[in-house]
Amino acid sequence: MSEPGAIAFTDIVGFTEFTATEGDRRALEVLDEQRRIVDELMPADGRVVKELGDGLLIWIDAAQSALAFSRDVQRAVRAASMAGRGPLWIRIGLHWGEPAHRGSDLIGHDVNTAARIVDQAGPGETLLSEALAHRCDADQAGVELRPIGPVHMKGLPTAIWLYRLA
Amino acid sequence: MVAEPRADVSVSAGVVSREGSSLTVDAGTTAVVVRVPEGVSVVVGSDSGRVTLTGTFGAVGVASDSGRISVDEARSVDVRSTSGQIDVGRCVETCRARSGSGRVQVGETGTLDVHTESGRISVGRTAGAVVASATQGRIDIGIGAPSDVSAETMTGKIVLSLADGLGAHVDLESSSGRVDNAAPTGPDCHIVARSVTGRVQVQRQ
Repeated sequence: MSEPGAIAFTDIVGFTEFTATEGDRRALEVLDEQRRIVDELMPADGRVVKELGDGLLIWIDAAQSALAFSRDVQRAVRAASMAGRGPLWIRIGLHWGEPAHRGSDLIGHDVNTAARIVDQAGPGETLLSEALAHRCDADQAGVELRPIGPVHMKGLPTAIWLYRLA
Repeated sequence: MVAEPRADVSVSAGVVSREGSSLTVDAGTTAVVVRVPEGVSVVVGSDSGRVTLTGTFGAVGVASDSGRISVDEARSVDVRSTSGQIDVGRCVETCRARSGSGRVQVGETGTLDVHTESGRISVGRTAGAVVASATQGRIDIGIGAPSDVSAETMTGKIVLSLADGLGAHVDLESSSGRVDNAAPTGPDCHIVARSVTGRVQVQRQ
C-alpha cells in the first residue's frame, strides 16, 4: 500500500459523439489538448498515472493541490474550448484514498470509487468525495465546496457524500 | 416529501436520527413519506425510485441513480439523476440540474445551470444567467429577463426565445447546422449558443 493521496479521473464529455461528427483527426487534437493542459498545470506532487481512452487517471499527493489543479484545468479547458481548440467540456472526479500499486499503475477500491465519482459529474464540473473534502482547506486552495448530498453509485455498497467544486 | 403548514416533522417509515438542527431519515429500501414545515431545506439521496417533493421548500438537493425527480417549488435546487426525468416547477434563485439520460423540464427559475447527456432541456422562463448544455438533446429556453446566456449542444437543436422588450447581442455558431437569429439587437442579453451538428435559433417569444 502507498501513502494516502488524491486520486483524480478526467473525462471528456461527449467524446464519442464528437469523434463521430468531427472525425478522428479532430478527436486526436482534442486529446492532445487535454494532455497538454494537464501536463502544464500538474503540480510538483502529482503525475498522470495512465491514459484511459478520452480520460486520464491522475495521482496528487496533497488534497489542496488536487483542488487547485482541478479548478485550473477546468478553466484552461473552457478557455481552449471557447477558442475552438479543446474539448467542449471536461469532467473531473476526485477521491482520497490509499490505492495499491501495480508497477506504476494504481488499483483498488479507492480508484474504483474515484472512477464512479467522475461518472456523476456534469460538463465542466468537478466532484469530490467527502473523504477528500475533509482533508483540505478550501479557502486556502482558493475554491468553494458545495455539498450535493449522499449519492448512490453503481457497485459501491453505501452512498457517499459528494461535494461540487464551485 | 411534502412541505406543508406545520411545525413538526412526520415520517412514515425508516430510522430517524437527529444531530443539531438536522434530521436524518434512513428509509432503507422502503418507500417513505416525510412531511416537513414549508420552507425547510432538504437533501435526498436515492439509489432507485421516484423522488417527489410537493409544496414549497428552501434549498433542495436531490441525487438519484435512477427514478424520476419532481420538485414543486423551492428557493434553490440542485438535482442530479443518472437516468431519470427531472421536473422542477418553480425555483426562485438558482436551479442546477444534471441528467445522464432523461429530460429536464423547468417551469420558471432565477438563474439556470443545466446539463443532460442525452435528453431534452425545456425551460419555460428564466430571470437570471443561463448555462445550458446537452451532449445529445434539444435545448429550448424562454429568456425572461436581461442576462448572460450560454447554450451548447453536441447534437441537438438550440432554441432560445426572448421575452417581449428584450434585445440581445448574439454569438451563434453551428459547424453543420443552420443558424437563425430573429432577436432584436440590444444590450439586455449577451447570448452565446454553439452546436456541433444542431440548428441554432434565437427568436422572440
